[in-house]
Amino acid sequence: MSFRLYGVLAQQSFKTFLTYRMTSVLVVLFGFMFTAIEIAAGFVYYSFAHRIGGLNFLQYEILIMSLISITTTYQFLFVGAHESLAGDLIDGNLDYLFLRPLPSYWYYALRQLDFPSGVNLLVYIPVTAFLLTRFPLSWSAWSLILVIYVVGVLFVFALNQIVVEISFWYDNLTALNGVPEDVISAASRPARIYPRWLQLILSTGLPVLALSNGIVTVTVKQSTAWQMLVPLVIVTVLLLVFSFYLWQRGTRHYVSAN
Amino acid sequence: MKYISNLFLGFQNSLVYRANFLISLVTRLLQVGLSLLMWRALYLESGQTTIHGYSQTHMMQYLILTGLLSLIFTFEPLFRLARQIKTGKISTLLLRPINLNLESLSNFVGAKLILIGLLGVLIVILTRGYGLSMLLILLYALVSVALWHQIMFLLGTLAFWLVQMWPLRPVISALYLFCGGLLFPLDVLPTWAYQGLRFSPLALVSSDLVQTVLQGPRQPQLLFLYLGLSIVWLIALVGISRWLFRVGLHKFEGVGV
Repeated sequence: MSFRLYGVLAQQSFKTFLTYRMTSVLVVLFGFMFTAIEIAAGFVYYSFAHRIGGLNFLQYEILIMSLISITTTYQFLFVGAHESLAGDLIDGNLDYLFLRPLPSYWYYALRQLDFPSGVNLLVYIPVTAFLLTRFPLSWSAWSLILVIYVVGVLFVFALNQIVVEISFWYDNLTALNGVPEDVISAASRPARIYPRWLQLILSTGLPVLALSNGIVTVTVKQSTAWQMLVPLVIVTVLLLVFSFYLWQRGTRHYVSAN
Repeated sequence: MKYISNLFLGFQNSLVYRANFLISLVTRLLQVGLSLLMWRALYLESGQTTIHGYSQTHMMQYLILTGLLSLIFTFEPLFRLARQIKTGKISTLLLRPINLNLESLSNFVGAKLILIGLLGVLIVILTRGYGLSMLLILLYALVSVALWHQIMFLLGTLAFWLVQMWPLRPVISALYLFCGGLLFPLDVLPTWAYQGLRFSPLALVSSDLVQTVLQGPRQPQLLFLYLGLSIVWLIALVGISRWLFRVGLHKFEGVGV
């Protein structure tokens, strides 16, 4: 898929954003409400202790904001496609996709940007960066943060992509769609509060703790953040490959209903 | 009778899609587990045996009960109604001599029948020996189920105006976790926040219900207050839903039928 085509798709999405103004404004507000609730929860927890799981209040808020920045970036880039795939499969709407001389996997995944989430990001990323500047970080530390952020977005994409691709075989398995969000949400606390065995699973097998705690760990100990990044990169690559494989199998299994 | 039949349809449907139930169960347990871990860490780091009057055991008891309640309080009625509106399928339902709100409620109760039954058993076990209070708490639990459904149904009517409904999921989830007291009991909040939240519908169906089960038999006035307020909220939300639904129908174009 060329950059030119992606530009056209982005323009279309932007026009949709402007057309459905009320929806767009509400989506932006919902995003900020969600973040406000998460931050408020942090205030409550830290009214009882100065440090939780080795993190002070500022670091806890970095954890929350960095994770929200990653998931919101995923939403901005990919959520539109993921929300519609199950419906498109049942309605037979993929026919139009296969008629086009384009790699269907990437075309489908990238065809819609969610601009309301983009508006949220305009606040989240600067706030996260500002919170991080409260710590003396070297350029290598900032580079590491950037890598964790990018890989994190790809990880969330791959996880969600696999879950929605299951719709090729099973319809009405609606509860599954919320699983990535719930799993990521369940990892949105300081890593050290989890039992050791769970930390191991959530840092290596399904590295959601690296996703949530990776960036804030840079402010604690950079070498530990590197150790978290490695399994995150490996699992992300594996998930991407698997999601691509599932897409190939799924599209062969797909029967037009249109 | 038609709603009873619909209730059993909802029940049968929940038995057919067992995987949905199991997945919901696991994800909710994850959430409960997270709250338990967070509070375990808080007790450890603060070095206190009680926080805001809650011993660690009492806090865990509260968090587990609110977590179990959240198995019943899911978002299906919201997204079911939204789906019917978005796909235009609601047109066929509008032609039938049924009340869509009751149809949705009966379907929801049917889908949660086993869990509601288990909740009833749990309440009976936890409040045994308190006769009348036990019956009132059971009634309060049933009103809570209806109230939760009404909150979801009301939010579902937003589909008449909103193009995308997915952004509602995280924000309602976060609101429910916070205002419903799943992250912490609401009385650990500053007094002004606690007083502002404790009579909200989300608190009444979750945090207040659990507090009533744990303390209610010994504080009957609290039970009467929460039960009365829940009924008032239920009536108000039914009224608002009816009004929103009527206004929304004027915007509905039935595309997709």
